[in-house]
Amino acid sequence: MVRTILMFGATQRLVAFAILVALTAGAVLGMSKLTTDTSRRALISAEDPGWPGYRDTIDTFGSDNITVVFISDPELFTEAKLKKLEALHYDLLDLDAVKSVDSLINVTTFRYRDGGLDTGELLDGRYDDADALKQAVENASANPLILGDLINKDGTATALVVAVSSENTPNFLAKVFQSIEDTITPAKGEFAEVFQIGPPRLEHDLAKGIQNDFRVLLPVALLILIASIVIFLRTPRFAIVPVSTSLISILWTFGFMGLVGLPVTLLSSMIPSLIIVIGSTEDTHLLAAYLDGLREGNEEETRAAKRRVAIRYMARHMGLPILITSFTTAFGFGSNAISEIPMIQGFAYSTSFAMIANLVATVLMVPLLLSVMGPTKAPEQKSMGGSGGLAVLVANLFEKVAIRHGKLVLTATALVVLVVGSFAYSIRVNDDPLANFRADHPITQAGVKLHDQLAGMQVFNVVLKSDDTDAFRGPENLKKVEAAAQFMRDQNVFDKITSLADYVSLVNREINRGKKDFYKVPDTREEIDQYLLLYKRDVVDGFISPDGRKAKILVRHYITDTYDLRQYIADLRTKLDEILGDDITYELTGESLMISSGAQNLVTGQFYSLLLLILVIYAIMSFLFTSLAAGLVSLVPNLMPLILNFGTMGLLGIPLNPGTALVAVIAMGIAIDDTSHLMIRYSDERRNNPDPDKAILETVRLEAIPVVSTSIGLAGMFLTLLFSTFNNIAQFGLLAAATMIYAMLADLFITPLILRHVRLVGVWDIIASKVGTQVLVDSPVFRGMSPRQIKKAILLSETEDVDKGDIVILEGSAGDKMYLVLSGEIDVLRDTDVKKLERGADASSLKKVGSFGPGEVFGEIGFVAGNTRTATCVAAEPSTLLVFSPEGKDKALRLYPRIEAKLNQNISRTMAERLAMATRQKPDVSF
Amino acid sequence: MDIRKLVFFLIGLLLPAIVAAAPSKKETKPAAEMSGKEIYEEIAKRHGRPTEFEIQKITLTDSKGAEEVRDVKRYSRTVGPGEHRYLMVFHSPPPIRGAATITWKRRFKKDGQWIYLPATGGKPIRLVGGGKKNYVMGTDFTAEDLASESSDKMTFERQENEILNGKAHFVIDISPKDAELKAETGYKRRRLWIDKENFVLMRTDYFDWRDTLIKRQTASGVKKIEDDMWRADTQTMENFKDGHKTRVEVIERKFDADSVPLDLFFERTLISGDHVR
Repeated sequence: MVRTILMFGATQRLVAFAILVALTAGAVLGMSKLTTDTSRRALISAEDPGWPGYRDTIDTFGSDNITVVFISDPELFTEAKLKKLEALHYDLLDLDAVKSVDSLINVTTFRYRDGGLDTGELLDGRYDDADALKQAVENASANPLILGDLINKDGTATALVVAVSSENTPNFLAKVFQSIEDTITPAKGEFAEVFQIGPPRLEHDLAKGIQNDFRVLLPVALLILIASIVIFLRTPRFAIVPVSTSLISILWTFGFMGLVGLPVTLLSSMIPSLIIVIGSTEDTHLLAAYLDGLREGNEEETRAAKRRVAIRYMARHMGLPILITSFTTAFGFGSNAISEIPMIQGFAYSTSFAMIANLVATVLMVPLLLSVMGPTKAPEQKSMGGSGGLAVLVANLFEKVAIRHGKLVLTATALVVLVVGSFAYSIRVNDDPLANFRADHPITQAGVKLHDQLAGMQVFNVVLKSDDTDAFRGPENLKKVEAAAQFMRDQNVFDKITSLADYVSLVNREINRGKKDFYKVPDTREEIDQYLLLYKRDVVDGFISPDGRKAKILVRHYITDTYDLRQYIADLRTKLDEILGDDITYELTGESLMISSGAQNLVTGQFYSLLLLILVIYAIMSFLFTSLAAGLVSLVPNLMPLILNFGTMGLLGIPLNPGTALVAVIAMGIAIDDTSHLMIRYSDERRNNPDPDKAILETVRLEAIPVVSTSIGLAGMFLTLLFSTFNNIAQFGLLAAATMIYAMLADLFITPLILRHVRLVGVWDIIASKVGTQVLVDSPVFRGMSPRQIKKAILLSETEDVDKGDIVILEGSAGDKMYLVLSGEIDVLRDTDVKKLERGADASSLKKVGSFGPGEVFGEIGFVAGNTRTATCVAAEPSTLLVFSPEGKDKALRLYPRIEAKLNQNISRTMAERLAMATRQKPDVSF
Repeated sequence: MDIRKLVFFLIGLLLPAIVAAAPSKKETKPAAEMSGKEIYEEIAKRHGRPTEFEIQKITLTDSKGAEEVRDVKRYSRTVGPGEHRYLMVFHSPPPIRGAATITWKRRFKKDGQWIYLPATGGKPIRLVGGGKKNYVMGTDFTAEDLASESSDKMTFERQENEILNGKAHFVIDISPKDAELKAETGYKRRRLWIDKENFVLMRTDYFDWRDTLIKRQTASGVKKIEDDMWRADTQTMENFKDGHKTRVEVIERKFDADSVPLDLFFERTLISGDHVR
C-alpha cells in the first residue's frame, strides 16, 4: 500500500503533475488572503482570566493604548524648539486615530508662588519670554505628575503622549504607526532626537523583522540545503528535488494559512526554514535509497527502466519510515496546539499542516522528478559512507567505548544528563514581545532611552474596588491607594506610578504653601472633594470611577523580562493584601500583565505538549515493534536531549519564550526519526544475526552516516535561524541545533547500548525468518498449543547457532537449560571422556547413543530437576537451537498459568516417553 | 486646574449683564446693514443688568453618560464704572458646600481672583498666572469661552445669514486680532449664530488653530426678561474631542440689588460661612 502510494508519482506522472498544479493554484489563491498579526494580543489567550478585568478597566477609566513620541534636545526650552513642539502637538492631534495628545504644550501646572497659586497651562504660549520659560521648567520639575512623564530632570527631553483609539481592526496599529511616523519625520531634523515608541511601533518593527527574516532566512536555508545535498549525495542535480518539494510545501503552507485565516506571526518566520530543514532530510533519505536502488543489481538496460527499478527500491525501503516520521513530526508540531497562546496555536496548526504538505509534495514530486531526471548511475558507495571512514570511526568508537564499557558509558551519560539537566531549574520564562529584539535593535535602544529619561512604554493598572459608593473619595481608602502606590515606588522597579492620591496630594501641598510634608492625602473627605474640584473631570475620571467605587493606579515601566515582572507583581500582591484589608479588593490589569501570565501558559503548554508527544511516540513505536519495551527504548535517546536542552537553557540563561518553548517538541518530533530508522535497522540485523553485539555493531556502522549527516544537516540548517532579526527565533535555532547533536550522540551511543538488552524482534519472528515456525508447531513440547501460546512460551528463550562439533551439554556438568533443535542435528554421547573432549578430541570417535533432529528437545531433566548432565550433546552439523531456562519460562509464563501447565505437561510427557523407551532397552536419551 | 478660569466662567455667563452695565444710547441700525462687530456689540448692549443672582444646576456628562451634578449660586454686581465683582458658591454636593471663587474686575488695576476652600480652614487663596485655554471647574468651558474681550481686539466677519431651528440668524466669524490675544487664545476662530429677532446668541462653534471644530455651545429655553433683554435658561457645551458635555441650567434668576449685597464679595463673609447661609 505504502509502496504503491510512493510509486504513484512515477507511475501516474500526468495525474501527479495535475494534482500538484491544482493544489498549487489553490495555494496561490490562499496566499492572496494571507494576513499578518504582530499584535501583542497574539500572545494572550482568549481565555485569559485577565480579560474581563482589563475590559472593565478600559470601560471605566478609558483606553490605556498610548504611544509616546520622544524628543530630546539640549535647547528644548527655546522659542524656536517650543514652536516646533507645538506644531507637532497639533499635527499629531489632527490624526484620525488619535484621541488626545498630552505634552508640555497643553499640560497644566499648579504651584504656590509669590503668595498665591500659579495655575494654568505650563507654557501658555509664552515661548519668547525667557523668564517665563525658566519658570515653566521650574514648575514642571516641581510637579510629580509632569516630571518623569513629560519632562526629564534637566529639561532636555520631553514626550508627547499620544492616546490612540482602542480600535482592533487588522493593520490598525500599522496605519497608526505610519501616520505618526509621517508626522514626526519632518521634525527629526529639527530636534537632536525624535522617535515614537509604543504598541504601533512594536507591531511595525515586528512585521518588518518578519519580512526581513523571510528575505534572509529562506535563501540561506536553501543554500545550506543545496550544499548538504552536494556534499552528502555527491549528486548536484539532486538538489532540485528537495528545493522543489520545499518551495512547493512553503507555498502550500502559506496558501493554507491564507485560506483558513491563520495570520503570519513572529513564529511564522521559522516556517520556510523548518520546511526546508525537515523536508530535506526525508528527501535525502529517499534519494539515498534511490542511489542504493541503482547499485543493488540494477541490470536494466534502458535509463527509464533503471530509474523505475531504483524508484521501486526506494519506495520499498523508505515508504514506511517516511510515512511514520512525517506523521510523528507533524504530531510534534501539532502538539503545540495545546498551548493557550494564539500565536503558538497558529504556529502549531500551520507547521503541522506544513509537515503533511511536505509529505504529499514529496510523495508526488520525488518519484515524478526521479522518473524524469533521476541519475542512472550512482556515485561510488564511499560517498554515502556505507563503509566509509566516518562509519568505521563511529562503529569502532562505539565498540571500544560503548560496548566494552557499557555500564560506565551509561552511568557517565546519566550523570551528565542529571548535572546539566539540573540547570533547568534556573530557566526563566519570558514572553515579552520587546524581548524579541536584540540589544542593538533601534526599538530596544529607544525603549531603554525612554525608560532612562522619562517612563517606560509598558503599562499596567492596579484597580482597587469597594462595595461602597464614593469609597475612594474618602480619606481612609484614598490613603490605602496612596500606601499601595508608595509601596510600588519603594520597589524601585517601576518608572512612573500615578493615582488619584497624587492629584489630591499635589493640591494639598500647593494650597499649603508648597510645603513638602503636605504632599499626602488629607484627612477629610471635604478637603479631597474640594481639591478635586480644581481638576478637569476627565483627568479625575482616569483614576476614579464616577460612582467612586473603583480607583486606578497607573503604572508605567520597562520591565521586558516577564519572570522579573511576575516576581515584582507577586511581592505587590502580598503587600496589597496587607494594606487593603477585607473591605477593598483589587485586580491587576493590562496587556503586559496578561502577556506575563501567558508565560505560565508556556510552561503548562510545554508540559502537556511534551507529555502528549511522548505518549504518542511511545504508542507508535510500541505498535511498530509490537513491544512495549521498544516503545520505552525509543523514548530514551529522545528524552535525554530534551533534558539536556532544558539544562542548556538554564546554563546559558536562555529564557523559555514562544520560540524556545517549541524546541523540545519539535526536536523530539524530528529526533525520533533517527531513532526509528536505527531501531528498524537493528530489528532487521537481529533477524539475520542472533548475536546482539554483532547486530548492534552492524546497525551502528550502517546508520552512522545517515544519522550523522541528517543530524549535522539539521543542526546546520537550524543554525541559519541565528540570522533572524528576533532573539526568540535565533535562540530557537541555537537550541534546536544543539538538541539535534545531543540526539545524534544519544542515537549513536546510548540507543544501541540499550537495544542490546531489549528484544525488538521476537524469537518467534527470528525462527520464522530462519527456519520457519512449523518446527515449533510440530514439536512434541508444544503439542496441543496454538501459535499464540507457543509465542508466549518461548518469549524469553534465545536462539543459539552452533557449529559442527560444538559441545552443547557436557556429561557430568551442572546445567538447567533445555534445548529444542530448530535445524541441524545433535548427537548424544555417553560415558565420554570429558578431558579428551576438552582437549579437542573428535566427538564422532566417542560412544554415540542417539541423536536429535528438528523439533526434538534435550536437556529436559536438568531443566526440570537441575541435576548434573547424564550425557554429552554435540552438534553433528551446523545447527540452530532454541534455549530455554527455567527462570525465563517462569517469568514469561507468570501471568499465563494455563500455558505453563500445558508446557509442563508436554515436557513431562516427553520425559515419560523417553523413560519408557529406556526401560525397553533403548538408548538412554533422557537427561 | 486653573481657578482663574472659574472666575471667567462666571463672567462669561454674565457677559450680557457686563456689557449692558454701560448701555449705548445709539439707535440700532437696520439688521441688514449691520456689520459683524455691530451685531456683536448689540448683543451686549441689550442684555446686561447691574446686579444679577442666579441659582444654577450644572450637569457634567462624560462620554459614557455618567453624570455629576453641582448646585451653584452665582452673584454679580457692578460697583462702579468698569468695576465688577463676581462670586460663585457651591452648595452641593455636601463635601464641596461653601467652596467659592471671587473675582474683582477692576478698571485700572489687574483683576483680583481668589478661591475659597472651607475644608482647608484657611483664608481665600489668591490666584496668580493662569491662561485662557484651560478648562474651568471640570466643565467644558475654557476661561476664554466665558470672558468678555473688547471687540477692538477682534476681527469680525459677517457670513451669510442662516436658518437655525426655523428662525433666521446672523452668522459672524470672530477671530483674534490683538497680538497678545492671539498668543493666548486656543481658537483660530469662533462662529456665532445670533437670533435676528432678539439678538440672543444661540450657538457658538469653536475652531482650534488647525481650524478643526472642537466644541459647540448651544442655548435653549430662551425667554424674554423685560424690554429687549432676553435670557437663555440653559447653555450646553459639547466637547467633540472627548465626548464630554456640560449643561448649565438656571433654576432661579433675580436682578434686584438686595439679592446681591456688597458684603458678599469680601473675605470675611467667606470665612464666617455667611455666603452659604
